[in-house]
Amino acid sequence: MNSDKQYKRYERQIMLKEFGVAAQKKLLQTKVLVVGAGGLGCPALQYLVAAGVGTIGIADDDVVSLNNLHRQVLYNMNDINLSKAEVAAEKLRALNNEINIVAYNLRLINKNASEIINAFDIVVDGTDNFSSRYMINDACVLLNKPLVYGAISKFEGQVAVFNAKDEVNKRAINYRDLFPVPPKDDEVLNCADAGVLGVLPGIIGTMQANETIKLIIGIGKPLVNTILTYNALDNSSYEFNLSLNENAQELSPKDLAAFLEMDYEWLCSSQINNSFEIDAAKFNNLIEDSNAIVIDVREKDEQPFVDEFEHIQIPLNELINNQKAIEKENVVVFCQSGQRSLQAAQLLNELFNDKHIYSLKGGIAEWKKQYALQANEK
Amino acid sequence: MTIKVFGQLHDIVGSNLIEVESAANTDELIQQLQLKYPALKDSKYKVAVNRNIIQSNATLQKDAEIALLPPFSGG
Repeated sequence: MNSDKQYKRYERQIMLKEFGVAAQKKLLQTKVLVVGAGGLGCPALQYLVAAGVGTIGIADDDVVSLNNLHRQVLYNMNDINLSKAEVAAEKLRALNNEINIVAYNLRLINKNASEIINAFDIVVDGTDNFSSRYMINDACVLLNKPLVYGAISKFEGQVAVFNAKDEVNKRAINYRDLFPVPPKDDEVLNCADAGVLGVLPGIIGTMQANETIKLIIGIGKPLVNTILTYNALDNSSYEFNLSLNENAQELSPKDLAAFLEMDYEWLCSSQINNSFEIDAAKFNNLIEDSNAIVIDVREKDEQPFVDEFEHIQIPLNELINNQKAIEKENVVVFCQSGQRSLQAAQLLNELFNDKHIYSLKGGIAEWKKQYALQANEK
Repeated sequence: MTIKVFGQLHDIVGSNLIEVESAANTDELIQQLQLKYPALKDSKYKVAVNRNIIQSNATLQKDAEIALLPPFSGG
C-alpha cells in the first residue's frame, strides 16, 4: 500500500478479515485482460477497476451504439460511435487513477492474441461469438492463463473458471472439455438475434469480476471445474461439474504455431464449405475403391436401409468417439439429404489432416432414385 | 424421469422441464428425446447426470437428476 489515500480507497474491503492488506496487495500486483467491453465486459471492468486490480487491459474493436445502452451502462448518449475500448478506459481512469489501464482498440484474433494475452495474468471473456470464445480458450490453454468465462442466452447466464489448475485432474479443464467442436455462430442465437434482458449481463459480468477477485486473492471457492447457470426469471442457479474430454486435446491447436494457423472465423462460419460434396457418379467409383470407407452418418434406425454397397454406420454425433473405426485414406459419408453428411465431412476434416473426405450430395434418398432409374434402363 | 433443459433448448422442447418414461442409460434417453423432439438431433448439448457432465453413455438410476446444457454465446 503506497499511501493513506490508497488505503482509504480500498478500506471497506481491506476491513474484511478474509481480505486484509495482503489481498489488496495481490490485487494491485495482478494484470487482468477483459476481452469485449460490452454487456459482460463493462460490469466486470467496473468492479475490477474499483477493487484495485493493478493493470487492466480492455480489448474491443467495436463502437458504442444506441442499442447497447440498455445493458452497457458504462456508456452514455455522448459516447455513440466512439471506440468502446477507448471510452471505457477513459471512464475507468476517472473511477480509479491509481491503476494502469490499457485500451486495445482492436479485435483480438489469433494473430495478435498471444502477444497481448502474455502480458496479463488472467483473461476475462466478455465476447459475444463462438469464434472469439474458442480462440481465447485455445490461447489461454497454450499460454497457461486462467480464463474467467461468462455467456448469456436470453434470460440465462453462465459463469465458469477455465484452465485453472486443480489437484484432481491431470490437466486443467477448459471450454473444449465441454464442447470440443465449435458450434457455428448461427447455430446458437446471440443477443443481437435472440434479445437480452439488460440486467442479465450486468449480473453475469459482475459474477465474472467476483470469480476473478476470488481467484487472485485465493478466497472462497471459485468456479474451477464447474459451470454455473443462473436464471434471471426464477432466480434459480444450477452447477454442472465438468470433466476432462479426450477429444478436447485432439481438436485444440498443439502449439502456438498451430494456433496461428487456425481459422476460427471459418470454424464457426455458417458459410458451409461444400468442397467435400461429390455427385452420384464419383460416389459410385468410391464405393468400389478398396482404399475407401463408406459411412452412413444417420441415426441407426433411419429409413431407407442401404444394402446396395458395403458401408458402416456411425451416427453424426458419435463420429468423434469412433475415430479408430476410420482407418482408410478415403472417407465417404452419406446421410438422408446430404446436410448432416456435410457437417460430418467438416468434422472429419478437422479430425484427420491426412485423409480425403467426401460427402454424397443430395444424400442417399437422391442416390436411390438414380440407382432405381439406372436399374430400370438396364 | 424429469429433465431440466437450459438455454436455447427451451425453444425446442417448449419448457424448462420435460418428462420422459424411464430410460436405462443416457443413450436410450437421447433416443427417446429425439423421437419426441426431432429438432434436438441438430442441436448441440451436453447431458448431465446428477449435475456431472458426462462424456459417454452412462447408466441411469430411477431417481437420477438429468439436465441438458447447450452452448451459450451471448455477451
